Amino acid sequence: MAQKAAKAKTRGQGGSGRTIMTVVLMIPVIAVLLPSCVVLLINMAPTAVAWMVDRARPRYLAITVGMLNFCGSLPAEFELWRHGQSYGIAFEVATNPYYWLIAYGAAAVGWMVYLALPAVLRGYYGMTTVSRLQSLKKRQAQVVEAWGEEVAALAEESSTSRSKR
Amino acid sequence: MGRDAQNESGGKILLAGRYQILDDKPLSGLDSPHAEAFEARDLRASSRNVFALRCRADLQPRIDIIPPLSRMLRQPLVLPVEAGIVAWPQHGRRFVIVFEHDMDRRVLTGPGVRIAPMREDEVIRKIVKPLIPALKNLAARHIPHRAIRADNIFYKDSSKESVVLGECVSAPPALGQPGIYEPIDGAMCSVSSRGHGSIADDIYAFGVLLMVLLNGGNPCAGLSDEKIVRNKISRGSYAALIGEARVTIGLMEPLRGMLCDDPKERWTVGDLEQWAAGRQLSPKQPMLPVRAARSISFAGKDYVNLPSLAHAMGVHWREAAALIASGELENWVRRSLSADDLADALLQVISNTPSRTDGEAHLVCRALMVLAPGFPLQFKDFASRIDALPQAFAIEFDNESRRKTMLELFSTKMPQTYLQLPQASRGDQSALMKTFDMFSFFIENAQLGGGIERALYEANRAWPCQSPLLRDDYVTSPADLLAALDRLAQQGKTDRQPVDRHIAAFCCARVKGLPERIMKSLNAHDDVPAFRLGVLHLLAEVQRSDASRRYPALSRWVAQLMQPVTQSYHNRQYRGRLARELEGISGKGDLLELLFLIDSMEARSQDNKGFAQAQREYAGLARSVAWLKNGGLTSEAHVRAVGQQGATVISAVLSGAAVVFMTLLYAL
Repeated sequence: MAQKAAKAKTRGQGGSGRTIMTVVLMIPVIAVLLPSCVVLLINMAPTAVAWMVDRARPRYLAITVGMLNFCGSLPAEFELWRHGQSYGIAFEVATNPYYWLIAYGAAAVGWMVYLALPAVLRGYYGMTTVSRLQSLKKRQAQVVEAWGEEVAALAEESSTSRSKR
Repeated sequence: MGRDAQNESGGKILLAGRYQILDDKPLSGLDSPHAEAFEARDLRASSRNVFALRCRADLQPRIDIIPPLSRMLRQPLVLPVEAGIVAWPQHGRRFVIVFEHDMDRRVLTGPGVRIAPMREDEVIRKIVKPLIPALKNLAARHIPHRAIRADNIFYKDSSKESVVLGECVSAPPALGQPGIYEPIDGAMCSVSSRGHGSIADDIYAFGVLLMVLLNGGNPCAGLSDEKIVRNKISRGSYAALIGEARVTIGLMEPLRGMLCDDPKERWTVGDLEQWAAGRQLSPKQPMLPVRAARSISFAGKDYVNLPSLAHAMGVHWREAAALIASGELENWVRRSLSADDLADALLQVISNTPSRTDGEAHLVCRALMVLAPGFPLQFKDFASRIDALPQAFAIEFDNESRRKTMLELFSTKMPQTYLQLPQASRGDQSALMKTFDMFSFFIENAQLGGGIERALYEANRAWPCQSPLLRDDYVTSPADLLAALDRLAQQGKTDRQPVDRHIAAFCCARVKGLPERIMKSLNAHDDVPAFRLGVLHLLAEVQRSDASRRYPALSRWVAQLMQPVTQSYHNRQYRGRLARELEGISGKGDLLELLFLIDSMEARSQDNKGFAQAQREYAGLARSVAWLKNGGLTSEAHVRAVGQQGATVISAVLSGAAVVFMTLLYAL
């Protein structure tokens, strides 16, 4: 027991160690790419909202919105990098509605896909259920025809026992 | 003996293809007590005079002694020449015996008929001397005749100077004998339970026959059998039968010798032959029972000797139980007979007999074994020689009250108790003990193939099957049984199962080594397919003993009965195929082939496996159906989960495509 606790402690220490290490390594990268990061931060605002709104695990909404939002943010980043990644250019790009439209539009597409897909699937599954039920019942009828009504006894028995439970 | 006798041929009744029986010409003068006589012709020797006796279907003729008797040529006997089973119009199949008809009329036409008394010289010349060779030959072959009586001897010809002895094979031994012709123990028995008997019984009957002829009829006419036995016990048989008749000293000697009540002291055929040759033998003195100092009153009469009292106790067994229980009998034995040992033995019987509600009969039975050694076994209103019990059981099988009494007798193991008495020691004791143990076993084991029917056929090896199905047939062997059932099927009498309690027991007793699982199937009362399969299995095993014979009608009958068995297979397609194949091969008449087809272990195993697999498949399908019906696919949770995952995937694909596109765009 003591050994297990020690191992868990070691694992916990290792996890937080890795996070600290990542943050330490990221600081120079952020410092060097600060204009890019500022532009990315502004353009990725819908993802942050999705992250906050989506309480489920895994955060499918945030992932869905995030991936497209990131793609939508890339034209602004490319524009920034093309002009030398200065703070002035970063400010221009960050305030350009055109880039907002691209980044937020992509995020909106992701959000719409996330919201629309269940409705589409509901209709699809409804039709699939009807067709699969027909197919299963046809096979059941074939089995009964070949082996008689007694063949259903086991199924009835198990359904009875399930309902009792 | 023509065991495979021919049946009807062109309206004629033919036995062994040689003897034609004229069923429209009865010969009532030649009837036996249990067989009817008919004219017959020998088709190969038209000058030969023969007649036929049609035996009763429910009795077993003395088949075992027909061959040796038929070889006793030139003897003063009515000789059987052929025997077998024939199809008799309106009577079904019956056992028939054909005899030589070389005799004139009966000496006495019936047991109650009176004729002019014969003179002593006539008796010696016409009866004794002619019949001695027959008695001698029978004794030499150890064949007791057991039907020696005045109405069963015939004048040899119209001159009436000589006689021949009538037949003795048409019914079980002594079944037609009036009690007067039986020694004391035989006369005490029921008619069915006198048994095979011995040559000494024949000598006794011959002595009585002479008495009857000297008297011109039954010397005890008007007396009941019980009274005759009582007289024989009290006065000795000679004195009881001689009555008022006068016999010279010359004939008194053989009559006393032949009517001696002690079978060991009784004259033999040799003694009779010597006397007939002129040698003088010392006359036998009657061995009368010890007379008591004072009489004892029982059932309204006074008795002065123990054997007479024992006989009366056997007849009035309920009063006898009270007499024993009161202690009066023990006192009388001790004081009036001065037989302390006997009284002590009686006391021991009383103390050893369990006091039950039905214990009276047991008490009396056990007490009589002690009081009257040498008497037959007496139980309630039934008395029997110990060796005659198996045959008596067969004869009385349809007599419900008698059968019940005998079953009680066997189940309480009274015969075994009787055999263990010192005076009952005999050569066939162990064989009899085994037989009675077998009775006890099968009476307790009442399942199909066992029970009282099995005891009947085990103890009487040649007894015909008494199944109600075979009422119009005569079946003594397994092959006969299948042939009889085949005939029933041909006649369309297939409304019942071909195996009932009698047939099952008969097969078990006659066919050795029947597999145990047949009995299990036959006794699976709630499992119709198993029972029907058991029926087929049993009949197929019977056919195995003579596989060359075919029974098409029976086979079709049994195939029809197999419907529940085919239905017991699960696979519908296989059922249909099996039914068609059964129908196809049933016409061949081979029950074994039928069995192999329908009771294939491989097919059954495959069917069971397939069924189990189908059950699992069906259950899986049912689960899927239930899952779908319960919204397995369309439930909100499922749709949401799949939708979320799907949206992520779509997003990933679009993002990937966009990144590639933009990379290419900016790179170029």
